[in-house]
Amino acid sequence: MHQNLDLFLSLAKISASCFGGGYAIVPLLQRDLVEKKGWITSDDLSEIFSIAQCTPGVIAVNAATYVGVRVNGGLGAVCATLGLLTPPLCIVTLVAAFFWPYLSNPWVQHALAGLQACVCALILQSVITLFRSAVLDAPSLILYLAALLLSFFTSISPAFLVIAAGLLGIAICRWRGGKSK
Amino acid sequence: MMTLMQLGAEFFCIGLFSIGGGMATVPFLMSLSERTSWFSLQELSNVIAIAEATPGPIGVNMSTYLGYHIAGIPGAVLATLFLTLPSFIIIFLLAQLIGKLRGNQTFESVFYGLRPASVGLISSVLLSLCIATFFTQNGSIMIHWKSIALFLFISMCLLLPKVRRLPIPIFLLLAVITGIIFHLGS
Repeated sequence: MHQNLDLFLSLAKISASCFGGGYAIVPLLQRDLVEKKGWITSDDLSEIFSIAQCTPGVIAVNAATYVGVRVNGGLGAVCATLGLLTPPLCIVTLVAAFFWPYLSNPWVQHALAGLQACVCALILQSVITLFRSAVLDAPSLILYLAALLLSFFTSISPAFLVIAAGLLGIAICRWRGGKSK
Repeated sequence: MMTLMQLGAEFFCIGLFSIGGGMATVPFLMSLSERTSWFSLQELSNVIAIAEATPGPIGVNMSTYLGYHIAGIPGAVLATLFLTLPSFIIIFLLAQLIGKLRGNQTFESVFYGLRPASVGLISSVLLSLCIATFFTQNGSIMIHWKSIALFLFISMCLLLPKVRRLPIPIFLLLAVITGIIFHLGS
């Protein structure tokens, strides 16, 4: 029981001090879970992230669930994941409740316009990082461009594009395997 | 009640299909805004900005904001829990199999296809967001040069290895101050 509470509180603390998306949480997990608690090793952490990158959902949630399973099975996973979700749920709900009425204020509009330009730059940076690890050769470049153009110019559901890309991945690898034999 | 059920179902699907972290949920949120009258593209881009500026994983923050916007506190809780549920189940199952799946041919080749497509989807969102941020159309098209300049400046900064490691709130603070001083977006 004590361990579950510890998992909940540790992940809650990490979540409350993490800003931004995806990989922003890595150094926090490294410091608290690997170095302080010793629940997982650095190797575990890099394994978690390569898995989290190619499984659905928010990377931080995947990492929290995985750590929870490793430390204390199913109950550990529930506690760790709820620990991660609780602070943003409270903070964000409070901000949404008190901030929404001020959205049309001109000063807030200027600040948001600045934030939006910054967010575009941050997304560009994560696109560059992801592009480097995902686009390795001609077929993957074609898949990248096809997904980009189809989702920009048509209203095909992204879920359909994701499923199609997974199937094409199998087809391309089979075809290659056949050719090299 | 119907809204809440639909909300849960929509966010469950988003959690199930968005691959590559919080930002990967944005293409799905965009298609949600086109299909429902729950929020506009403009509101979505505000939500992304606010989600970056509040603590917590960005994917979780965005779903909490949108859930609250659509259906109050129950909406916020439901959207967040249902977004998380698919990855919780999948990781819970995968954690037992991980050693065996690494190096499995089919498993690897599925992700060979998934990763570039997921980056392509995020790139398409980036394009839409840039257009929404840099141009507004009421009658004639207006170009926001100051926003473009700020975008280019921060992008250049993020290319420098030393600057990139600075905490994200520093960039957000810089952007807010610049936005207010130079009257961005007008």
